[in-house]
Amino acid sequence: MSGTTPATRPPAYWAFFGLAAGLTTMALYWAFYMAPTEASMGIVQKIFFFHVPCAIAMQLLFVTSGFASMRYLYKPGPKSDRLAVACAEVGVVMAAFVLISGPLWARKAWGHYWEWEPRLTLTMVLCFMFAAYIALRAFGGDDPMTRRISAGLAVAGLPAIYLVRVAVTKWRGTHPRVVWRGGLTQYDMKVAFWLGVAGFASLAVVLVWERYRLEAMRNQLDELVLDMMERDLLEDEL
Amino acid sequence: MRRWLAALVFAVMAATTMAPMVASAQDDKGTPEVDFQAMDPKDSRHKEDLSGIPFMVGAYMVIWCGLFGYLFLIQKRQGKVEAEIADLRKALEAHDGAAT
Repeated sequence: MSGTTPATRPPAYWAFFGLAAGLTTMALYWAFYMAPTEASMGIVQKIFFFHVPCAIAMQLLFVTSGFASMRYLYKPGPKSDRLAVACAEVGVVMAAFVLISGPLWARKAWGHYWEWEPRLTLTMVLCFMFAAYIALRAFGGDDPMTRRISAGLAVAGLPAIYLVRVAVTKWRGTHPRVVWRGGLTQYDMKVAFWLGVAGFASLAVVLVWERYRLEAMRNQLDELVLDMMERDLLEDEL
Repeated sequence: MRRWLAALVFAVMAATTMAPMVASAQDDKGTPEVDFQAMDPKDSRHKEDLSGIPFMVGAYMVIWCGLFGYLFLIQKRQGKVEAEIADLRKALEAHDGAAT
């Protein structure tokens, strides 16, 4: 591990930051001023322009966390561990947005907030799995064994991510299928949606970057504490 | 040995995951397929439904307040760790200075 604190953020970070700010602003503008109101659902359909991008970002983050954990199990190293933690935490935040905005839409579209249908239930289970990962990392200590157990948990989440994707078609859920089967026919609706997807993807990169940076700083703090313990300085400091 | 065991577990998991994919010949009957249609103000059947405004505002509030809140929280945690690092460095430098 490098001994320097990532004190300054590199230009690439600011590029993603600018991209995220620009794209999400454009997406908001397109969703509210350019895209027409949907004929049957009315204005509540506008939730779709951010609900689905959040869900896509969540899946990408959990997949990245799973693969980074797999790499950690194969070849333990601080970088893959930090990436796995950062992606898992930001993924849980995105999952929370999905699980809150979805029922608000459902209340208007279906007449009730929640239904125990496959995609909703699996998304909730997936969110709980990665929330358990975060809890394990937060309260289980920072030893290699805890890291390995939590990495195993993240890898076990990978099949669930795939199942969330296919749940609607394979188990005939009631969650609507729109995007991948071409249900987004109106041009401005398409633009608003894809701007939202790009905006949330870059926003996810920014959040992961920040969370990764925090983890790197914590690693550095641990090293300093160890250094001080070796010199018997920690007692004086405390 | 451990790596072989990990590879075996992964292979079983991958096979379990692939099973639904292989069974994809299954039909999609019953799945709601939704087409978003733009409201046409000239069409008398289309009436602008604004009753969903509270739900829409609620959803957007949760997403945006949540995002800014989370970013603020990370910054706060970074600031705390940064301050601790600075304190420890100062203590180490003071110790090294005294030793020389």
